[in-house]
Amino acid sequence: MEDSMLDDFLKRNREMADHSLERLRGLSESDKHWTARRSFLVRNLSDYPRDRLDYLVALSMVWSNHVFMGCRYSDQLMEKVLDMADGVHVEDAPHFTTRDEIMQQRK
Amino acid sequence: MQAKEVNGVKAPVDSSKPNPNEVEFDNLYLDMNGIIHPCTHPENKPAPKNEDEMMVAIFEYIDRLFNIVRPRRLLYMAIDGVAPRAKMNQQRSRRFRASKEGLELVEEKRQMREEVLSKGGFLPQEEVKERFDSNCITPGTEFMDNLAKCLRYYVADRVNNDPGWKSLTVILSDASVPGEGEHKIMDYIRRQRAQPNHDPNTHHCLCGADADLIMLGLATHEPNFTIIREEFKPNQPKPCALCNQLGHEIKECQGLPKEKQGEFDQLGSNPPIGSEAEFIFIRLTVLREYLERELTMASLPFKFDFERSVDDWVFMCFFVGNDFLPHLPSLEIREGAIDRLVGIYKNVVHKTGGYLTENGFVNLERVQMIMAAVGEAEDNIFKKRRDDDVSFRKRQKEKNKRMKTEAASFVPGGQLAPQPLGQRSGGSKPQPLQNARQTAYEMRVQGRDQQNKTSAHSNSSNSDGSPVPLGTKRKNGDNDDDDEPPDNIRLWEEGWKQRYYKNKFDVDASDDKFRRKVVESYVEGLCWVLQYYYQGCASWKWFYPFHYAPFASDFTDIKDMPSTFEKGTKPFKPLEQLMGVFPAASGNFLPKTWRALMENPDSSIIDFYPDDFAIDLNGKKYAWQGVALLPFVDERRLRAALEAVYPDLTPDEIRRNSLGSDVLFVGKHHKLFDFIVELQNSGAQDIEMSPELCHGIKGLLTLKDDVIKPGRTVESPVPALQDITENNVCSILFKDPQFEDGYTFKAALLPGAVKPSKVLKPADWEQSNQKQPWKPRLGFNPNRPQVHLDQAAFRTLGHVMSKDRSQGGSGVYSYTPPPLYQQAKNSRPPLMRAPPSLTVPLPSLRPQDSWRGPQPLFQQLIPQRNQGIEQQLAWNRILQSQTGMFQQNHHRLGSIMPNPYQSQDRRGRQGYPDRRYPLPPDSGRYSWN
Repeated sequence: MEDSMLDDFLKRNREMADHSLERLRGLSESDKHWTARRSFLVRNLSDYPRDRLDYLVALSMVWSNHVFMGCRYSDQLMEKVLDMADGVHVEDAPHFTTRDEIMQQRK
Repeated sequence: MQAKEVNGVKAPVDSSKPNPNEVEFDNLYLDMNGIIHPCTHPENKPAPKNEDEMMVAIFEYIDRLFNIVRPRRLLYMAIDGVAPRAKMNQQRSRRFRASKEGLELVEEKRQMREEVLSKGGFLPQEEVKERFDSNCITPGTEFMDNLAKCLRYYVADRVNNDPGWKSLTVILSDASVPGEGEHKIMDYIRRQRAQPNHDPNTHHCLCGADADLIMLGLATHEPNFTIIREEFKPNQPKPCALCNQLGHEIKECQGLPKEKQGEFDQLGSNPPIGSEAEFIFIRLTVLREYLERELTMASLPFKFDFERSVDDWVFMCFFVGNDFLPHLPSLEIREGAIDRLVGIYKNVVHKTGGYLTENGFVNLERVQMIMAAVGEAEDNIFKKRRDDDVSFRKRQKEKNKRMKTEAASFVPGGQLAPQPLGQRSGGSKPQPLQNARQTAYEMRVQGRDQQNKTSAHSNSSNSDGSPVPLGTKRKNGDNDDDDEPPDNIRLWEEGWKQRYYKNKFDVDASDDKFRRKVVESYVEGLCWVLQYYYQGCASWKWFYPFHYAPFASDFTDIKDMPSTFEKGTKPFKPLEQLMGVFPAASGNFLPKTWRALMENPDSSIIDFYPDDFAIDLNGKKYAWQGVALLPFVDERRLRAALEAVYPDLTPDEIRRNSLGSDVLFVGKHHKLFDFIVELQNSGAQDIEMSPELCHGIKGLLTLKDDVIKPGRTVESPVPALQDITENNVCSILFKDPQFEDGYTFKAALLPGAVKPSKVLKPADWEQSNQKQPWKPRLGFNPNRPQVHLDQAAFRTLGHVMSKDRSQGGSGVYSYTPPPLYQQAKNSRPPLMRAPPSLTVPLPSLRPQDSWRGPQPLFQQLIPQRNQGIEQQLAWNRILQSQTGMFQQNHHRLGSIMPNPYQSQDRRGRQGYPDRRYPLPPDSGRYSWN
């Protein structure tokens, strides 16, 4: 009995969290990209207090921009967000060639 | 028109004298960013050493323009201010790229320098100067602030001292006033037109290199509108970035001492580099005549109104590409997309029951019909594109092969050696042959030897002369296929739409909701852009949030899509916008704590500033042509992050970050002078200026404490220039006339506007004037006197011309092959956004072209891309050969007309070289704004 109440509580909590997360969805974000990023956010939400939420959003964008747009950031940052994304499942992530790579090929 | 120079001293030009172009302009508008960029980091001459030199270069450039145009009423100078959000993606992409390109150049220079020096080459001392980061040409930087200061001084100086300026009204809209330069100009014109004192026959002249200026000019519906721009010259020699010599690129620099050319070489050490740019006029009244022929439709179910059809035409040009939206995949300008659209339009408009647009507002139901028609053709367009591409590549390959073996295998020598036509070798006429048998024998011997030599050569060596070891493959340098990026969209194959959405948006084509969102955003975008051109910025916040466009066939059920915008939006502040468009590498233009937000891994907006980003070549060959996949800025988070660092701004930074006003200047000879001096003494806030004192110009004047006052010294911000001690100029803040919210600016000719007389040959000329040949109308003056030459003059001319030709090798008869296409491989995107071809067909400037009639206009109007050059060549050549014929008998006359100012138009003398050069990319505008 208690277990189910707890479950229920957690579920409602999750729904509320999802609801408030929904406003963080970007204008152009597809379902696929948003699902992945939301999962990133949910996974790390507990480590970031409310007033640091924007920072978490930035990290989720760093990760999402990297995976879905091909952006690269400093090694330190990359390591951090890839760590945080541990366990987020992305099905057939696209492949990109960055500008530096193109210039490297030219040489 | 250039000041004459005698012994290094320039003789001033009196610009108060009648305009030598046989036309008088009232207003000159300068889109300043088109001037600032070439003056601060020129492509074809050594860069100025410091900021002061840059400022002086800008002053000189404006002087030159001024002397050509000689405006009699108004000079309006507009520098790009903060742009609408819709433009930010493009600005970001330019600045992120520019920053990387700059760093790459520095690195390349360093490496080459080491290499050259280690091989014992000589290079000039490395200059200590810092690399000029062109990114500083963005509103809010110290550089832009200084520039505004310098321009205020410049205006004061000229109005005080130059007779051509003394009764002129000058308005300066610097970078602190929001809006893109050209749009600030449009806003000014639009608002003046809407007030009753405006002179409907004002002759406007707008200076700028952007192709949109043509659209903007058409959108004003002013009958007298001319654009002046620098003539685009392809393949200008560029000095090597290392040793400053011409003739090689940085990669081939060997650090050799300069070769002396001719006896007096050291006297004119500079001239060949950076020979001054030349200007051309584009008369929109002539373009309007062409458009009228193209667009006029008989038997419409409603009354044909040319002005309305022009607006529809401008609107359709947006489908093909603009600064705010990516172009539709099926509409490529170089594939004649505009012609196609006009064709479709003329078919569809019979059914739509009216025009697509009105005063800059779009009728979506009608637009949908156009889109549906384009959509039907889409599949075929992609297939044809593929076929053209394949056959182009095949031809290219064959050509490359041919070029390798093209060196003539046998050229007769001695007295049979070929002689250039029309040229006397050694001052003597060609001699009759003597002893032909002996010569023929010598040639046979020579030929045999040569053959032996080459066959022995090619057996054992590589193309660079090194021996090829047996059993290894030859290096193949001509296999272009290997450089082609793989295309995994394959628009020409079944299932292209699915692949496109999957690859570009990473969504399944079945995801209708997403596709709707893309289409909706695009439709919104089209509405926004059209309003931007016709009514001003509808929303500072709106932007297109994708990197790619949908297909025309996706535009279904668009008629109820929202096309209104949030009201009362505000532009970014200058420093905020800098945060939005700069990469972290340009952070030095920002205050320290602001910069930290771009660099610090703990920043809450760090995701806006990737170190490296993907480039989608999107079917193109070079990185600069591709789409830069940069993240979009989240305005809410940006503002939130800045809140914390706003208190760190110094008073000076606070000033630079605030929104400024336009400034109006007049001198003591101006009727408005006393009025303004009065206001300066009594204080003023939004006082209406009386239009009768100022050629019908209206506006609101406000006093500010740092204005220029007569009798008070104007200090020179440039050390090399002197303070103005006896100042007779006053300045005051100026605001465009204001209209109530929701006011609609009318896109129509004003009552009282007199249409200029026609220039084109009437279509029915032959029928109605059988006896009389058509006399082309050249230049601005319809009654321009013809010049006749007698025989003696022709002899003199022939003498002068042939000499000229043999020296330069670039004359009409020149057989010098045009620069090879291969050069394009190394070349940068050419600077100008619009193609050189744009300016060719306008008859007013190119006498030879008026023979050609109105047909080939549209496909030339807007930039074409690199790839399509060879495809275009066929018709290019036809035109060339046609015009060439006329040039011979026409231009020899034209270019020596005793009008000295004609000499600007040098192309007339040289003929137009075959266009085998890379055309600019369609977004290859200067990296300004």
